[in-house]
Amino acid sequence: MNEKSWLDTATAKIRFRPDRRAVRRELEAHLEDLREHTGLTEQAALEAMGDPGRIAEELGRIHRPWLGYLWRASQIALAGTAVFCCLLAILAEAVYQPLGRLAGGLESLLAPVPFTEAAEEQEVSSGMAVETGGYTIRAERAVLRRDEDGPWTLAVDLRIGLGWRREPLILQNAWSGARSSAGACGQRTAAYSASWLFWQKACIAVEVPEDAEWAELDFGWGERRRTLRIDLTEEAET
Amino acid sequence: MRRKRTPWPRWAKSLRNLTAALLLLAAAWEALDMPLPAGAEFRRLERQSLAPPSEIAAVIPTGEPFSPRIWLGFGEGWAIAGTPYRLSRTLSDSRIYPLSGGLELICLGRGVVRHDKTGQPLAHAVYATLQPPADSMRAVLTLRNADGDFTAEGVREGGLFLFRLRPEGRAAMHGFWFSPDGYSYELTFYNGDGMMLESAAAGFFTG
Repeated sequence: MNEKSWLDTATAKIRFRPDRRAVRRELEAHLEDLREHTGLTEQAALEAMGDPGRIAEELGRIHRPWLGYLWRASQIALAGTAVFCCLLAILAEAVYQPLGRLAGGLESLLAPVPFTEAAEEQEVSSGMAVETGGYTIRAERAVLRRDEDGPWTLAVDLRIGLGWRREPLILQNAWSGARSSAGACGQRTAAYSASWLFWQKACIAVEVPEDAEWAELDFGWGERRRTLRIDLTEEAET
Repeated sequence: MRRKRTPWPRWAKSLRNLTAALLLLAAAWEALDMPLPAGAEFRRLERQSLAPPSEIAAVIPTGEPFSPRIWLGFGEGWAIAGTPYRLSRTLSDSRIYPLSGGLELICLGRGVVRHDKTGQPLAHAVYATLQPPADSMRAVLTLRNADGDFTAEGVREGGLFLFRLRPEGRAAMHGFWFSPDGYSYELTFYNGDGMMLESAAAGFFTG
Protein backbone atom coordinates (compact mmCIF):
# COMPACT_ATOMS: atom_id res chain seq x y z
CA MET A 1 0.00 0.00 0.00
CA ASN A 2 1.42 3.36 -0.98
CA GLU A 3 0.92 6.65 0.83
CA LYS A 4 -1.90 7.83 -1.45
CA SER A 5 -4.03 4.74 -1.05
CA TRP A 6 -3.32 4.64 2.70
CA LEU A 7 -4.57 8.23 3.02
CA ASP A 8 -7.57 7.47 0.79
CA THR A 9 -8.53 4.49 2.92
CA ALA A 10 -7.99 6.29 6.24
CA THR A 11 -10.20 9.23 5.28
CA ALA A 12 -12.78 7.33 3.21
CA LYS A 13 -15.47 7.35 5.90
CA ILE A 14 -15.44 11.11 6.46
CA ARG A 15 -18.46 12.11 4.43
CA PHE A 16 -18.16 15.90 4.60
CA ARG A 17 -15.65 16.70 1.88
CA PRO A 18 -13.98 19.80 3.43
CA ASP A 19 -13.35 17.78 6.61
CA ARG A 20 -12.00 14.89 4.59
CA ARG A 21 -9.53 17.18 2.84
CA ALA A 22 -8.44 18.83 6.09
CA VAL A 23 -7.89 15.49 7.86
CA ARG A 24 -6.04 14.13 4.87
CA ARG A 25 -3.69 17.14 4.91
CA GLU A 26 -3.11 16.62 8.63
CA LEU A 27 -2.32 12.92 8.21
CA GLU A 28 -0.01 13.74 5.31
CA ALA A 29 1.89 16.23 7.46
CA HIS A 30 2.07 13.71 10.27
CA LEU A 31 3.51 11.08 7.95
CA GLU A 32 6.04 13.59 6.64
CA ASP A 33 7.13 14.40 10.20
CA LEU A 34 7.43 10.75 11.08
CA ARG A 35 9.65 10.05 8.10
CA GLU A 36 11.84 13.08 8.68
CA HIS A 37 12.38 12.56 12.40
CA THR A 38 12.78 8.79 12.47
CA GLY A 39 14.23 8.13 9.05
CA LEU A 40 11.64 5.39 8.40
CA THR A 41 10.86 4.30 4.86
CA GLU A 42 7.46 5.12 3.44
CA GLN A 43 6.14 1.64 4.04
CA ALA A 44 7.47 1.51 7.61
CA ALA A 45 6.02 4.94 8.36
CA LEU A 46 2.62 3.86 7.05
CA GLU A 47 2.75 0.73 9.20
CA ALA A 48 3.71 2.87 12.20
CA MET A 49 0.69 5.05 11.60
CA GLY A 50 -1.60 2.06 12.06
CA ASP A 51 -4.37 0.19 10.25
CA PRO A 52 -6.06 2.64 7.83
CA GLY A 53 -9.34 0.71 8.06
CA ARG A 54 -9.60 1.17 11.81
CA ILE A 55 -8.53 4.80 11.56
CA ALA A 56 -11.24 5.33 8.92
CA GLU A 57 -13.88 3.83 11.23
CA GLU A 58 -12.80 6.08 14.09
CA LEU A 59 -12.61 9.23 11.95
CA GLY A 60 -16.02 8.48 10.39
CA ARG A 61 -17.52 8.22 13.86
CA ILE A 62 -15.98 11.49 15.07
CA HIS A 63 -16.76 13.61 12.01
CA ARG A 64 -20.57 13.87 11.93
CA PRO A 65 -21.48 15.02 8.43
CA TRP A 66 -24.78 16.78 9.29
CA LEU A 67 -22.97 19.40 11.36
CA GLY A 68 -20.74 20.10 8.38
CA TYR A 69 -23.67 20.28 6.01
CA LEU A 70 -25.51 22.58 8.41
CA TRP A 71 -22.49 24.84 8.63
CA ARG A 72 -22.17 24.96 4.85
CA ALA A 73 -25.91 25.59 4.47
CA SER A 74 -25.72 28.43 7.00
CA GLN A 75 -22.83 29.97 5.04
CA ILE A 76 -24.84 29.78 1.82
CA ALA A 77 -27.93 31.20 3.55
CA LEU A 78 -25.97 34.11 4.95
CA ALA A 79 -24.24 34.86 1.65
CA GLY A 80 -27.53 34.58 -0.25
CA THR A 81 -29.31 36.87 2.16
CA ALA A 82 -26.51 39.41 2.00
CA VAL A 83 -26.68 39.42 -1.81
CA PHE A 84 -30.49 39.72 -1.66
CA CYS A 85 -30.21 42.67 0.72
CA CYS A 86 -27.70 44.41 -1.57
CA LEU A 87 -30.03 43.93 -4.55
CA LEU A 88 -32.91 45.18 -2.44
CA ALA A 89 -30.99 48.30 -1.49
CA ILE A 90 -30.37 49.00 -5.19
CA LEU A 91 -34.03 48.28 -6.01
CA ALA A 92 -35.20 50.44 -3.13
CA GLU A 93 -33.21 53.34 -4.47
CA ALA A 94 -34.56 52.85 -7.99
CA VAL A 95 -38.21 51.91 -7.36
CA TYR A 96 -39.35 52.35 -3.80
CA GLN A 97 -38.13 55.90 -3.30
CA PRO A 98 -40.20 57.21 -6.22
CA LEU A 99 -43.16 55.04 -5.07
CA GLY A 100 -42.81 56.38 -1.54
CA ARG A 101 -42.71 59.93 -2.83
CA LEU A 102 -45.81 59.24 -4.92
CA ALA A 103 -47.63 57.72 -1.94
CA GLY A 104 -46.55 60.61 0.27
CA GLY A 105 -47.79 63.08 -2.31
CA LEU A 106 -51.13 61.31 -2.57
CA GLU A 107 -51.45 61.20 1.20
CA SER A 108 -50.85 64.91 1.48
CA LEU A 109 -53.44 65.53 -1.23
CA LEU A 110 -56.05 63.29 0.39
CA ALA A 111 -55.37 64.29 3.99
CA PRO A 112 -57.77 66.76 5.50
CA VAL A 113 -56.57 70.30 5.94
CA PRO A 114 -54.94 70.59 9.40
CA PHE A 115 -57.00 72.38 11.98
CA THR A 116 -56.52 76.09 11.99
CA GLU A 117 -57.07 78.18 15.06
CA ALA A 118 -60.78 78.43 15.80
CA ALA A 119 -62.65 81.45 17.12
CA GLU A 120 -63.76 79.52 20.21
CA GLU A 121 -61.82 76.66 21.78
CA GLN A 122 -62.29 74.77 24.99
CA GLU A 123 -60.22 71.83 26.11
CA VAL A 124 -62.35 69.13 27.71
CA SER A 125 -61.54 66.06 29.76
CA SER A 126 -59.36 63.43 28.17
CA GLY A 127 -57.03 60.60 29.10
CA MET A 128 -59.58 57.80 28.75
CA ALA A 129 -58.55 54.73 26.79
CA VAL A 130 -60.00 51.57 25.26
CA GLU A 131 -58.27 48.35 24.32
CA THR A 132 -59.32 46.20 21.41
CA GLY A 133 -57.78 43.92 18.80
CA GLY A 134 -54.31 44.33 20.34
CA TYR A 135 -54.49 48.13 20.14
CA THR A 136 -54.79 50.66 22.93
CA ILE A 137 -56.58 53.83 21.87
CA ARG A 138 -56.10 56.74 24.24
CA ALA A 139 -57.61 60.22 23.92
CA GLU A 140 -54.64 62.40 24.77
CA ARG A 141 -56.37 65.71 24.25
CA ALA A 142 -59.94 66.66 23.38
CA VAL A 143 -60.91 70.15 22.28
CA LEU A 144 -64.33 71.61 21.51
CA ARG A 145 -63.99 74.26 18.85
CA ARG A 146 -66.17 76.49 16.74
CA ASP A 147 -65.65 79.04 13.99
CA GLU A 148 -67.99 82.04 14.06
CA ASP A 149 -71.48 80.60 13.65
CA GLY A 150 -70.32 77.21 12.47
CA PRO A 151 -71.08 73.90 14.21
CA TRP A 152 -69.19 72.73 17.30
CA THR A 153 -66.48 70.26 16.47
CA LEU A 154 -64.90 67.87 18.90
CA ALA A 155 -61.26 67.31 17.91
CA VAL A 156 -59.47 64.48 19.67
CA ASP A 157 -55.76 63.71 19.57
CA LEU A 158 -55.30 59.97 19.84
CA ARG A 159 -52.27 57.99 20.85
CA ILE A 160 -52.65 54.42 19.66
CA GLY A 161 -50.49 51.66 21.08
CA LEU A 162 -49.85 49.22 18.22
CA GLY A 163 -48.86 46.13 20.18
CA TRP A 164 -46.20 43.67 19.10
CA ARG A 165 -47.46 43.45 15.51
CA ARG A 166 -46.72 47.14 14.89
CA GLU A 167 -49.51 47.42 12.30
CA PRO A 168 -50.80 51.00 12.16
CA LEU A 169 -54.54 51.36 12.54
CA ILE A 170 -56.54 52.34 9.44
CA LEU A 171 -58.52 54.95 11.30
CA GLN A 172 -60.96 55.67 8.46
CA ASN A 173 -62.13 52.06 8.78
CA ALA A 174 -61.60 51.47 12.48
CA TRP A 175 -63.56 54.52 13.65
CA SER A 176 -67.01 53.02 13.28
CA GLY A 177 -69.35 55.60 14.79
CA ALA A 178 -69.98 58.67 16.89
CA ARG A 179 -72.97 59.94 18.85
CA SER A 180 -73.66 62.38 21.61
CA SER A 181 -76.07 62.91 24.49
CA ALA A 182 -78.02 65.29 22.24
CA GLY A 183 -78.31 62.86 19.34
CA ALA A 184 -76.40 61.94 16.25
CA CYS A 185 -73.12 63.60 15.41
CA GLY A 186 -72.36 65.30 12.12
CA GLN A 187 -69.51 64.92 9.71
CA ARG A 188 -66.53 62.87 10.83
CA THR A 189 -62.94 63.43 9.82
CA ALA A 190 -60.07 61.08 10.56
CA ALA A 191 -56.67 62.60 9.95
CA TYR A 192 -53.85 60.13 10.12
CA SER A 193 -50.65 61.71 11.25
CA ALA A 194 -47.78 59.34 11.83
CA SER A 195 -46.75 56.04 13.34
CA TRP A 196 -43.54 55.11 15.07
CA LEU A 197 -42.25 51.74 16.16
CA PHE A 198 -44.94 50.75 18.66
CA TRP A 199 -47.42 53.60 18.59
CA GLN A 200 -49.30 55.88 16.27
CA LYS A 201 -50.62 59.38 16.66
CA ALA A 202 -53.77 60.53 14.94
CA CYS A 203 -56.35 63.24 15.14
CA ILE A 204 -60.06 62.76 14.64
CA ALA A 205 -62.82 65.35 14.56
CA VAL A 206 -66.59 65.15 14.64
CA GLU A 207 -69.35 67.72 14.61
CA VAL A 208 -71.38 67.59 17.83
CA PRO A 209 -74.70 69.25 18.71
CA GLU A 210 -74.31 72.43 20.74
CA ASP A 211 -76.05 71.14 23.87
CA ALA A 212 -74.29 67.77 23.97
CA GLU A 213 -72.93 66.79 27.37
CA TRP A 214 -70.91 63.84 26.19
CA ALA A 215 -69.80 62.26 22.99
CA GLU A 216 -69.15 58.59 22.38
CA LEU A 217 -66.69 57.47 19.76
CA ASP A 218 -66.91 53.86 18.59
CA PHE A 219 -63.86 51.99 17.39
CA GLY A 220 -63.98 48.57 15.76
CA TRP A 221 -66.58 46.23 14.39
CA GLY A 222 -68.49 43.27 15.79
CA GLU A 223 -66.91 41.82 18.88
CA ARG A 224 -64.00 44.26 18.59
CA ARG A 225 -66.19 47.35 18.95
CA ARG A 226 -65.29 49.54 21.93
CA THR A 227 -66.56 52.96 22.93
CA LEU A 228 -64.57 55.93 24.11
CA ARG A 229 -66.75 58.37 26.04
CA ILE A 230 -65.69 61.97 26.31
CA ASP A 231 -67.29 64.29 28.85
CA LEU A 232 -67.85 67.62 27.14
CA THR A 233 -68.91 69.51 30.25
CA GLU A 234 -65.77 68.96 32.25
CA GLU A 235 -62.90 71.25 31.44
CA ALA A 236 -59.46 69.71 31.24
CA GLU A 237 -57.04 70.36 34.06
CA THR A 238 -54.23 72.56 32.90
CA MET B 1 2.14 37.51 23.55
CA ARG B 2 -1.21 37.38 21.87
CA ARG B 3 -3.11 34.21 22.59
CA LYS B 4 -4.49 32.45 19.57
CA ARG B 5 -8.25 32.53 19.67
CA THR B 6 -9.89 29.15 19.98
CA PRO B 7 -11.94 28.60 16.83
CA TRP B 8 -15.69 28.49 17.30
CA PRO B 9 -17.21 25.03 17.18
CA ARG B 10 -19.05 24.32 14.00
CA TRP B 11 -22.50 24.31 15.61
CA ALA B 12 -21.82 27.78 17.04
CA LYS B 13 -20.70 29.10 13.66
CA SER B 14 -23.84 27.62 12.05
CA LEU B 15 -26.02 29.24 14.68
CA ARG B 16 -24.25 32.57 14.24
CA ASN B 17 -24.64 32.47 10.44
CA LEU B 18 -28.30 31.49 10.57
CA THR B 19 -29.07 34.18 13.15
CA ALA B 20 -27.31 36.79 11.03
CA ALA B 21 -29.23 35.62 7.94
CA LEU B 22 -32.54 35.80 9.82
CA LEU B 23 -31.77 39.29 11.11
CA LEU B 24 -30.88 40.42 7.59
CA LEU B 25 -34.10 38.90 6.22
CA ALA B 26 -36.14 40.60 8.95
CA ALA B 27 -34.50 43.93 8.08
CA ALA B 28 -35.22 43.33 4.38
CA TRP B 29 -38.85 42.42 5.13
CA GLU B 30 -39.19 45.59 7.18
CA ALA B 31 -37.57 47.61 4.37
CA LEU B 32 -40.01 46.03 1.92
CA ASP B 33 -42.89 47.34 4.04
CA MET B 34 -43.61 43.91 5.52
CA PRO B 35 -45.46 42.34 2.58
CA LEU B 36 -47.52 39.21 3.20
CA PRO B 37 -49.28 36.80 0.83
CA ALA B 38 -52.57 38.28 -0.42
CA GLY B 39 -54.86 36.31 1.91
CA ALA B 40 -52.76 37.14 4.96
CA GLU B 41 -52.53 40.77 3.85
CA PHE B 42 -56.35 40.92 3.65
CA ARG B 43 -56.52 39.57 7.20
CA ARG B 44 -54.01 42.20 8.24
CA LEU B 45 -56.18 44.91 6.66
CA GLU B 46 -59.05 43.56 8.76
CA ARG B 47 -56.94 43.70 11.92
CA GLN B 48 -55.89 47.25 11.07
CA SER B 49 -59.57 48.15 10.64
CA LEU B 50 -60.41 46.58 14.03
CA ALA B 51 -62.68 44.08 12.33
CA PRO B 52 -62.80 40.41 13.32
CA PRO B 53 -61.97 37.95 10.52
CA SER B 54 -64.78 38.04 7.98
CA GLU B 55 -66.23 35.34 5.77
CA ILE B 56 -64.72 35.81 2.32
CA ALA B 57 -67.53 36.12 -0.22
CA ALA B 58 -65.66 36.94 -3.41
CA VAL B 59 -62.15 37.43 -4.75
CA ILE B 60 -62.37 39.68 -7.78
CA PRO B 61 -59.49 39.85 -10.31
CA THR B 62 -58.53 43.45 -11.08
CA GLY B 63 -56.31 42.88 -14.12
CA GLU B 64 -53.67 45.05 -12.46
CA PRO B 65 -50.29 43.40 -11.76
CA PHE B 66 -49.39 44.88 -8.37
CA SER B 67 -52.79 44.54 -6.73
CA PRO B 68 -54.29 41.66 -8.70
CA ARG B 69 -57.39 40.96 -6.59
CA ILE B 70 -60.07 42.67 -4.55
CA TRP B 71 -61.11 40.57 -1.58
CA LEU B 72 -64.63 41.02 -0.33
CA GLY B 73 -65.62 39.69 3.07
CA PHE B 74 -68.68 39.84 5.30
CA GLY B 75 -69.02 40.04 9.02
CA GLU B 76 -72.01 40.48 11.29
CA GLY B 77 -73.11 43.99 10.34
CA TRP B 78 -70.26 45.02 8.07
CA ALA B 79 -68.57 44.18 4.80
CA ILE B 80 -64.94 44.81 4.00
CA ALA B 81 -63.31 45.20 0.61
CA GLY B 82 -59.54 44.95 0.60
CA THR B 83 -57.03 45.21 -2.22
CA PRO B 84 -53.71 43.79 -1.01
CA TYR B 85 -50.76 45.36 -2.80
CA ARG B 86 -48.08 42.83 -3.68
CA LEU B 87 -45.02 44.66 -2.43
CA SER B 88 -46.26 47.08 0.14
CA ARG B 89 -48.41 47.18 3.21
CA THR B 90 -48.77 50.96 2.92
CA LEU B 91 -50.20 50.80 -0.58
CA SER B 92 -52.71 48.08 0.29
CA ASP B 93 -56.18 49.52 0.37
CA SER B 94 -59.33 48.65 2.26
CA ARG B 95 -62.75 50.00 3.01
CA ILE B 96 -65.45 49.00 5.44
CA TYR B 97 -69.19 49.21 4.77
CA PRO B 98 -71.68 49.08 7.64
CA LEU B 99 -74.64 46.87 6.69
CA SER B 100 -78.24 47.23 7.76
CA GLY B 101 -79.17 43.59 7.23
CA GLY B 102 -81.34 43.80 4.12
CA LEU B 103 -80.60 44.07 0.42
CA GLU B 104 -77.62 46.38 -0.06
CA LEU B 105 -75.63 47.70 -2.95
CA ILE B 106 -72.06 48.75 -2.35
CA CYS B 107 -69.56 50.36 -4.65
CA LEU B 108 -66.10 48.93 -4.09
CA GLY B 109 -64.40 52.18 -5.05
CA ARG B 110 -61.46 50.34 -6.56
CA GLY B 111 -62.00 49.51 -10.22
CA VAL B 112 -61.00 46.55 -12.38
CA VAL B 113 -59.64 46.32 -15.92
CA ARG B 114 -61.86 44.93 -18.67
CA HIS B 115 -61.14 44.98 -22.36
CA ASP B 116 -63.45 46.59 -24.89
CA LYS B 117 -64.24 45.12 -28.33
CA THR B 118 -61.00 46.45 -29.79
CA GLY B 119 -58.96 44.90 -26.98
CA GLN B 120 -58.32 48.23 -25.31
CA PRO B 121 -58.02 47.87 -21.50
CA LEU B 122 -60.52 50.09 -19.67
CA ALA B 123 -61.05 50.57 -15.96
CA HIS B 124 -64.51 49.59 -14.77
CA ALA B 125 -66.25 50.33 -11.50
CA VAL B 126 -67.31 47.34 -9.39
CA TYR B 127 -70.52 47.01 -7.38
CA ALA B 128 -71.79 44.20 -5.25
CA THR B 129 -75.30 43.47 -4.07
CA LEU B 130 -75.44 41.84 -0.72
CA GLN B 131 -78.27 39.54 0.30
CA PRO B 132 -80.14 39.48 -3.02
CA PRO B 133 -83.50 37.62 -3.16
CA ALA B 134 -82.83 33.93 -2.59
CA ASP B 135 -84.20 32.63 -5.91
CA SER B 136 -82.85 35.43 -8.09
CA MET B 137 -81.00 34.15 -11.13
CA ARG B 138 -80.35 37.43 -12.86
CA ALA B 139 -79.73 40.99 -11.71
CA VAL B 140 -79.49 44.21 -13.67
CA LEU B 141 -78.00 47.43 -12.34
CA THR B 142 -78.56 50.80 -13.95
CA LEU B 143 -76.66 53.88 -12.81
CA ARG B 144 -78.13 57.25 -13.63
CA ASN B 145 -76.81 60.75 -13.63
CA ALA B 146 -76.90 63.80 -15.86
CA ASP B 147 -74.62 62.03 -18.35
CA GLY B 148 -77.10 59.23 -18.97
CA ASP B 149 -77.89 55.67 -17.95
CA PHE B 150 -75.24 52.98 -17.57
CA THR B 151 -76.42 49.39 -17.31
CA ALA B 152 -74.65 46.17 -16.37
CA GLU B 153 -75.73 42.59 -15.94
CA GLY B 154 -74.76 41.04 -12.61
CA VAL B 155 -72.56 37.98 -12.28
CA ARG B 156 -73.56 35.61 -9.48
CA GLU B 157 -70.70 34.90 -7.05
CA GLY B 158 -71.94 32.68 -4.26
CA GLY B 159 -74.38 34.72 -2.20
CA LEU B 160 -73.99 37.98 -4.09
CA PHE B 161 -74.12 39.58 -7.51
CA LEU B 162 -71.16 41.50 -8.89
CA PHE B 163 -71.50 44.24 -11.49
CA ARG B 164 -68.73 45.73 -13.57
CA LEU B 165 -69.58 48.83 -15.54
CA ARG B 166 -67.97 51.93 -16.88
CA PRO B 167 -69.85 55.16 -16.45
CA GLU B 168 -68.74 57.75 -18.98
CA GLY B 169 -68.99 61.51 -18.93
CA ARG B 170 -68.22 64.08 -16.29
CA ALA B 171 -68.00 61.66 -13.40
CA ALA B 172 -66.00 59.05 -15.29
CA MET B 173 -63.42 56.78 -13.71
CA HIS B 174 -60.29 58.46 -12.41
CA GLY B 175 -57.76 55.80 -13.21
CA PHE B 176 -58.75 52.88 -11.02
CA TRP B 177 -60.90 54.98 -8.73
CA PHE B 178 -64.56 55.71 -8.96
CA SER B 179 -66.88 57.53 -6.64
CA PRO B 180 -70.57 56.64 -6.79
CA ASP B 181 -71.54 60.09 -5.51
CA GLY B 182 -73.87 61.86 -7.90
CA TYR B 183 -75.41 58.70 -9.29
CA SER B 184 -78.74 57.18 -8.48
CA TYR B 185 -79.33 53.55 -9.19
CA GLU B 186 -81.98 51.05 -10.11
CA LEU B 187 -81.45 47.43 -9.27
CA THR B 188 -83.73 44.68 -10.52
CA PHE B 189 -83.70 40.95 -9.80
CA TYR B 190 -85.26 38.23 -11.94
CA ASN B 191 -85.91 34.55 -11.34
CA GLY B 192 -85.05 31.71 -13.72
CA ASP B 193 -88.23 32.30 -15.76
CA GLY B 194 -87.35 35.94 -16.34
CA MET B 195 -89.99 37.19 -13.91
CA MET B 196 -89.08 40.27 -11.93
CA LEU B 197 -88.67 39.45 -8.24
CA GLU B 198 -87.64 42.72 -6.68
CA SER B 199 -86.60 46.16 -7.73
CA ALA B 200 -84.85 48.81 -5.70
CA ALA B 201 -83.93 52.37 -6.56
CA ALA B 202 -82.08 54.93 -4.50
CA GLY B 203 -79.00 57.06 -4.17
CA PHE B 204 -75.83 55.24 -3.36
CA PHE B 205 -74.76 54.09 -0.04
CA THR B 206 -71.09 54.99 0.04
CA GLY B 207 -69.95 53.83 3.45
